[in-house]
Amino acid sequence: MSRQIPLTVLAWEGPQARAYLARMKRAGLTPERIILMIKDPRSGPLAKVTGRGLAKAEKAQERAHNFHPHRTRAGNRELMTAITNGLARQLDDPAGLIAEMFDSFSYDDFGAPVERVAVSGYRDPALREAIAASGAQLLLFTGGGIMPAEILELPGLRVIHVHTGFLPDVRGADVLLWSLMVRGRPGVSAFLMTPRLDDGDLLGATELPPLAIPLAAADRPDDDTLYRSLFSFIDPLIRAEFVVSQVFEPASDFEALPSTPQDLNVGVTFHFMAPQLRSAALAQLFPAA
Amino acid sequence: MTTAPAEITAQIAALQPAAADSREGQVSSAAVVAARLTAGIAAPGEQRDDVNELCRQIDVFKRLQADYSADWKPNKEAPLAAPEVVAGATCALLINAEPAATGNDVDGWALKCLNSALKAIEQNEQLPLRAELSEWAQQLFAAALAQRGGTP
Repeated sequence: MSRQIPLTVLAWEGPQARAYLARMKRAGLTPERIILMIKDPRSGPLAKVTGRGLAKAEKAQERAHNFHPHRTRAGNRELMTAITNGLARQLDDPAGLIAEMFDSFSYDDFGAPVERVAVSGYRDPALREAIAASGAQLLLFTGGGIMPAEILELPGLRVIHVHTGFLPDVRGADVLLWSLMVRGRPGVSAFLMTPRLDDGDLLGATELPPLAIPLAAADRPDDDTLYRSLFSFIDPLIRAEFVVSQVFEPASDFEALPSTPQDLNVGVTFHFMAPQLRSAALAQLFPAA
Repeated sequence: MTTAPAEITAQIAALQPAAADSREGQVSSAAVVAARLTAGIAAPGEQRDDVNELCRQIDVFKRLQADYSADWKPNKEAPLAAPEVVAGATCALLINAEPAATGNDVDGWALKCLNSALKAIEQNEQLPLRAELSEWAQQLFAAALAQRGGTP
């Protein structure tokens, strides 16, 4: 039995949008619509594609944005097994969810109408127009850029973002790795976006059990592959699990989702890690088996 | 360490340009750095604002300008800070990173500052006292990891 919820998924093609949709489907939740952003990687920033050109661009985008997850799955069987075993302590059936995200995935299979919009990025006026015309009141941001104030300030629109750090303590970038280094465990938070960084009212925030994905030395790929696997599988599934199980499933009235302001006087804003720190954080996440 | 952090700090402080006050509506990186070199570790709250901005400029924009508008908005056309000032900023970040080595980094501030210092050293090959700053950063990094049960 599926329940339609008054939520528009703003899909930026890639693991995160797919994880949200796969996890929502598992929970029997159907968004009221999906707006799929399509950018032709071969065209200039203002190029617009339509009709068959749009379908070609969508395929090209699918290949480009999911290149690393597909390659990691194909070439790192032991890593994938380790990731699914490690994530199984945090969420149900990660292997099944990953398969759903990348095996025969189609945005048309989630029971919601899909509006495909050709855009050059988040700042493209066509995106703002599409969101405004859709009548969406609650939008799920799935990453891929900076959401401009012109969209966030559309009348009546609230935009949800999920962040893999415990807010208000851990803001910024690479926050899953920073959380492991600083707090010894991952955190995750859902909040209503503002034009500023990670400071919106919280829909929920929690710290998760410590996460470790042991890897035998012989199975350990280089740090770049481990880092990409973090953003291909681990980070997207943690976000999806949290927002679906802790925000969407319990909600009875999406127009009045309970939220609390953050204490903006606490917390540290972290930036992308230097290679040395990133390597140390990855060693903590993927310890030697 | 070959050169003690206090000695590195003194040498870098002596290199800082004179008359580096910020003008009305502008932030002088040299003035901020000079102040931070004598201020010690920034306490949570407003004291951290300037250090946060030094981190942001180095981490996000990969450069430190000589001057900024009051909101620290970067300007690609603006002249860069002198290497001595960048060395001063790196030194100020390492001062703030010291608690990472002693287990007193409650909220990750020290590790964040160490991260930015490592990037500043990497980004600026002409940094005065670069070898000394690098040795200090590596010593802090190793100690910070040991505190967390890891190895460099």
